[in-house]
Amino acid sequence: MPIKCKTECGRNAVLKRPKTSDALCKECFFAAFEAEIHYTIITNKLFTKGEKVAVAASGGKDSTVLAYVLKLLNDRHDYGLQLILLSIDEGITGYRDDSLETVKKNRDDYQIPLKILSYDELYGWTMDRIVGQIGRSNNCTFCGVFRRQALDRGAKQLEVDSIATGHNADDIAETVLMNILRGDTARLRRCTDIRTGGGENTIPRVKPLKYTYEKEIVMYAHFKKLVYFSTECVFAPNAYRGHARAYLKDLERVRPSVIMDIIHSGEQLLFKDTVKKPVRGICERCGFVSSQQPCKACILLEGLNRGLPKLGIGKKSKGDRMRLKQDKELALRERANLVKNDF
Amino acid sequence: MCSIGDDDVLDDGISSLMTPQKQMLHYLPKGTCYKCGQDRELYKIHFREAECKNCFLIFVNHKFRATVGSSKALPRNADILLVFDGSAESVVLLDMLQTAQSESNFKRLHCYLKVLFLDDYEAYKDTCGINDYKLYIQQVKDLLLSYDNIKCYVTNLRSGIHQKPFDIKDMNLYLNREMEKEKVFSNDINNIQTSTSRNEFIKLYRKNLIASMATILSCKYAFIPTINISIATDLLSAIALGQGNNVACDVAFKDDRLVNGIKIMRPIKNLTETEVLLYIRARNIKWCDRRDHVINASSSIQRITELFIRNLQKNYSSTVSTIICTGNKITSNNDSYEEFEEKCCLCNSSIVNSETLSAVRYSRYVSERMSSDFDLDINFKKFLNLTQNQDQKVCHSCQNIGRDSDINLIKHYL
Ligand SMILES: [Zn+2]
Ligand SMILES: [Zn+2]
Ligand SMILES: [Zn+2]
Ligand SMILES: [Zn+2]
Repeated sequence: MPIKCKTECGRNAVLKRPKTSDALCKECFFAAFEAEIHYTIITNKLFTKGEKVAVAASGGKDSTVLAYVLKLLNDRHDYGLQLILLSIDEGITGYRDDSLETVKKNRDDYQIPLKILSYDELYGWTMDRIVGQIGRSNNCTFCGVFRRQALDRGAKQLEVDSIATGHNADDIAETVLMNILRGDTARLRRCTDIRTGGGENTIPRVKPLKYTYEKEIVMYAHFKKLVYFSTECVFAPNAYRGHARAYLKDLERVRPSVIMDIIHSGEQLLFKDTVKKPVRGICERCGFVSSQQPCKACILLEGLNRGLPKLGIGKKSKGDRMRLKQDKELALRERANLVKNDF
Repeated sequence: MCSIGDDDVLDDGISSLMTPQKQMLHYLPKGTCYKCGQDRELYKIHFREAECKNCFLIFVNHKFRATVGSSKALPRNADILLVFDGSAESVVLLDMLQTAQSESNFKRLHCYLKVLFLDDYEAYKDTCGINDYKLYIQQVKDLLLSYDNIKCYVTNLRSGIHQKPFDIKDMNLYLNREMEKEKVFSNDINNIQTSTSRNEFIKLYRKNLIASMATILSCKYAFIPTINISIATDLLSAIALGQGNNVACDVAFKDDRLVNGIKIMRPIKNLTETEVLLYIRARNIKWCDRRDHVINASSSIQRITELFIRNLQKNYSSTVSTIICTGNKITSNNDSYEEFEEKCCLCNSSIVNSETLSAVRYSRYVSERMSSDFDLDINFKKFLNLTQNQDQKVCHSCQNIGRDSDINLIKHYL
């Protein structure tokens, strides 16, 4: 005998909700899924009427579902938001070409305007060329650092009031674990924030899917037949993060609520007064948010342009030494040239 | 600050998993000690030069004394109860305490020491046969009797917090004690549905039991032999169990959350497994193997976490020390505005509220009531009223225990 939907709507259940283990029919699942995101947006006051909001769109499942649901809730509950899709083209052959097609399809399906910005336009380098310089070992650092700032740059160009990103509950729980494992208290403090930035010179970022399980996002996209691009980044994923992810999946298997429990834990952590808080300022070179001077993107960029791509990777002191060494060598070479030219 | 750079793998590749005795270090190279220059067997731990036995022992003992001394929480002539289980860590702590008590003048640790063998067979009986258990009990008894200048006691996890412990010399009386009530306890524990919640309950209960035994034996301080990898496991488990607001007490040297003013202390929290095993070798002391190592890998949050950390430590040798570092930066707010806050009836920690917790409740709410004629706005208000009137005597983490058991049935144990 088929199982009835838990809400007593009379229909048969077709799925078991990963988040609550309730058996639901398709319609009740959609309604619950959307209601929860609406609840998150309202109780956390993520948006204000009349705002222009950029949805960071990668073509992946999270951003596709985010764009779809934001559009739907904006219409249904009259948020009065002007939505715009913002995509970054890293310039990775075979990765972005297809996913950008997906984003374009999202644009047409959901009737939301789209802006694509390329790394080439923003930084003068495509990821393919960066990999050519550095090899595959550290390219995810470049990709991540550049992407983070690319959104800020794009948002500034588009003059939006906030950027909505597709970070889901699993991503946030995983990041809490990661930051504990690598002892990064600065990130541990802020990684559970549903809203970051938003100071004088920065555009705030919000995470409307903060409490949405990855499994439910996949389920929602599947039953709604949403089109998304499902290939992981073609470069090797971060091995360390992979361990944290596998650990989280193992935990979720014994206790599904663990994802929310970890987010709750992360939010409740208090740090001793002696632990220094990072100062989040503005990079003096490029003018975007940074806790370092100059910002990581600027250092990586300097490294690429100097032909020292490893400059921004590893300790700062090591980078300083590399810079110094190159400057010395250049000076020597120049002197040698001078000597040669004297004759 | 965090200068700990310990590592649990020796340079000669011997892994130091604290499992059977067979894996004890059977080979140490000979050479010159970097400190005293003598040609001896060399003890080598990561981030330290190879040194001779004596220099190694001085180093490890110093680490222990530094942990105890730095917090200034232990007064002179304190009455200390050492919680003992025969494990390598516990015999090392006992030996270190003895050494510290017999030091000359100013280096001497002035304290009065009693030992409690806490027999927790109940917690691991599924993985250890009765014969192995009997052998183990005998070993612990012989070991403790060899310390004829220390008063040693034994009690069982199931015996209840008011049951006086037995003198270790009366082991036969202990083994033949009245056990009717204990069966009720076992039964109540078995009624907890998941091993995650069972472990959590036992952890809370064990703490109460230790506090109660310390009181009965007139000790104000209880020393527990937790070393760094267990601290790291406890920290990460607590995060996964939703206990972020009081995880600091689980990993600090001193834990004073206990109701009757007893302070639990972790004097060897900075020792690594390698250091423990090398110490045992250097001092040539015995320890008792519980033989409870066959445990289902995916059974509980705590067990999964332990295995995860062990595996990660193999690939990234600073895993444990980094987690400890993170833990050392965390504090708790349990002391502040104590009287105004509601406390959890199981774990006694402050009950907090947050957007995340209301999101969790909202999920459950809509998942049960959602249907096509569900009015979101009306129900939104209904839900908010419901949340405000909620009976909140159990913290978020313990609500998970509540989902796996009948809280009223287990509440009175805590
Ligand atoms: Zn239904
Ligand atoms: Zn910059
Ligand atoms: Zn020496
Ligand atoms: Zn509790």
